[in-house]
Amino acid sequence: MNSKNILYLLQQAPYLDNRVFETFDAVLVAAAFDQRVSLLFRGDGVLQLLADQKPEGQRNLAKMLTSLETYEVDQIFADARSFEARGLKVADCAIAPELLSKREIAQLIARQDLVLND
Amino acid sequence: MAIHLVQRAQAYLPCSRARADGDVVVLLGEGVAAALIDANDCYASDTDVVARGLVGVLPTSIKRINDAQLVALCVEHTPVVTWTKA
Repeated sequence: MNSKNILYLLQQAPYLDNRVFETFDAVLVAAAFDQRVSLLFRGDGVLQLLADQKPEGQRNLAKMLTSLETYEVDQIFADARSFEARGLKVADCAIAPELLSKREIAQLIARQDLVLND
Repeated sequence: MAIHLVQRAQAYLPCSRARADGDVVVLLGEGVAAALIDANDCYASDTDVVARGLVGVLPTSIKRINDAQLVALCVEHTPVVTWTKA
């Protein structure tokens, strides 16, 4: 099983449909198959990180994010610009992403074999 | 060197921010409209440019490519990154 660097570029706001949940499940599958998974939340996708989510009748993404640790997915990044534009802080998040500048994002992308979207 | 595929005009700016030196950017589908606003030094899909009647107004810094050339670029560059969101 050769392991690849896979980056999930997460840009969708949650709860409109199942898209975000399905991508999250795919992330866990990739991690379970020992791929080197990184997550980059940007744009509206940063909303997926918020700790205070309380959906009715849907899975709670904030709680699910905490399970990433058990799958050893610890490369969690977010676009600093997207945070600033929305007045968000790492303290507002269910899990703490590392905020990246645009140059660091370019470097992160350069290291990948595969970049997937939600 | 990565290749960035821009499929919506509003996705061009985030793509340009994440573009490293030597990365290639290709405007596809609706993304070709970005050529008229802020895109430069990119490729654009010939069929999409022609379909939208942009041949006469395309800036010179945008080079039109056909599907075979697009495939060749995708083979030569890793990773392939698709941009669809602002």
